[in-house]
Amino acid sequence: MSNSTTIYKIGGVFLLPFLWWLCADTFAFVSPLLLPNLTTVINRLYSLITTGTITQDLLATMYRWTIGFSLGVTTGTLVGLMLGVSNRLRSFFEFPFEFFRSMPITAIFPLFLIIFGIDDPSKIAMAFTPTFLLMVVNTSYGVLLTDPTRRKVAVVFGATQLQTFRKIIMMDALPQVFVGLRLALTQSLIVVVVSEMFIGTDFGLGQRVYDSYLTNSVSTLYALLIVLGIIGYIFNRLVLLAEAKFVFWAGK
Amino acid sequence: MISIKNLSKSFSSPAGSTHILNSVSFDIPVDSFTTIFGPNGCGKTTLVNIVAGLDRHFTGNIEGLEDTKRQVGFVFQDYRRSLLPWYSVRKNILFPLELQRLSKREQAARLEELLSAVPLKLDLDQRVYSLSGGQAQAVCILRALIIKPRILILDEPFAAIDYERTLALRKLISDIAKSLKLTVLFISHDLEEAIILGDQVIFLSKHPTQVVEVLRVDLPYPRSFEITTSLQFTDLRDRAVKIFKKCVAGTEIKI
Repeated sequence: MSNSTTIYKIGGVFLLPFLWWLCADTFAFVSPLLLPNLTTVINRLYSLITTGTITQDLLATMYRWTIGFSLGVTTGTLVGLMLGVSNRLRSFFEFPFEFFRSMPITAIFPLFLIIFGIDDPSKIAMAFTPTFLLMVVNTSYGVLLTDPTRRKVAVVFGATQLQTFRKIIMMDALPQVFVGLRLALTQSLIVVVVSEMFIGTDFGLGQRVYDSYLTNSVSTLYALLIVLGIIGYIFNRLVLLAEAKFVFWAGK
Repeated sequence: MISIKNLSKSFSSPAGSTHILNSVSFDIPVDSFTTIFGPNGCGKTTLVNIVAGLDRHFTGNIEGLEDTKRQVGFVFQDYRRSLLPWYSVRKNILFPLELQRLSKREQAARLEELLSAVPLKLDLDQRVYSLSGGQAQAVCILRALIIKPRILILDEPFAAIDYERTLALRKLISDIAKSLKLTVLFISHDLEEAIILGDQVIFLSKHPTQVVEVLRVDLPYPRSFEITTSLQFTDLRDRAVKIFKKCVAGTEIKI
């Protein structure tokens, strides 16, 4: 990181809260119903954390999200690898996958409520579905775009089909797998939070967000949005770190 | 001696069948350097893919190279795409032995043996994507040599490398071929290069590809760049140019 841009990056972290503070706390430009004081929101956030009221919601959301996401990643990657190597399988499944991928996934939730009930399974299924679809599509593209020259190298030096698959094709597909991971991470968090806003949820950040809207607790709403933003950001950074470690060669 | 006998190959498409190779025959003496030269798109790559066992759809015979699974060393033109960017220089060179499941100790011994025979300075722990084109192609050559190949095939290996490094790489491959007594089949897109490196130059024609002539090259070793100014070399080149005219006879030379 060069020093000339560091200052802008730090500025980007603090400028928005400062403007908020300026508009709401200092000059009260905006109605507190739309934008409460920054200090109020921070106090609210602090009490949510210290009193432990947010813990159960946080755990519930994380549980649904991580289970659905990891199931989607493992099965989606496996299916993607299979579709990538088999032209027949890929041709057969091309339409169904494109169809479901193009569908606004949140619309499927009522159906999941009918199938899986109103408890956790339906929300886990919601996190699973976009993750699975994104992983299948990206992994199979990754396999499909494997460099033919490198495959030839393996063949000419006597690699078995399994060796070519494990040592060349899977490695060459890895950068695209990570593209899928990053997209799926964001999408699955979105759908989990949205699905928590529906009936039948006792705990969950989505439910808490919706509750604070119903009860007009705008400062709680903002505090929760900050929490959700931080969660999304942390996990995105984690995937980026993993990417830098495992596919350091990508694009080189 | 490796003998290519009556090699033919044709593609059939809705428009009819196209002959790529039409009864190509020539000999590759062992411990000697054979270069192949011919007009663009004459099926040179198809030919070496068949010799390397990458292409099995052909008629004819390759004698003296039976059961050579894992014993053909191949160097591709595209060195960037033929190296594995997730491996270091060392692991790239050892990749063929990794495929053969040789123990780490055997691998290390083979690498040491090879490097002691090759006058090359390389940082073995470097990432391959940070190498220069010339260094990267040298790594590809070492990777092909680590299996102690019965034949080393190079498909226009220096086509994408700048002139200065090409000269150095030519010298390297020529020296190694002599000192390790390699049997080499080298496709070249450069007439001078074909003469400098080869003990014989096989001239191929346009489609359908046939052998036009085999030019013996009796230049002394080592074959350094200076050789190109010798009378013997210029004489050979004049003959080679005449042969090349025969290769493209009857077709218009296009830009």
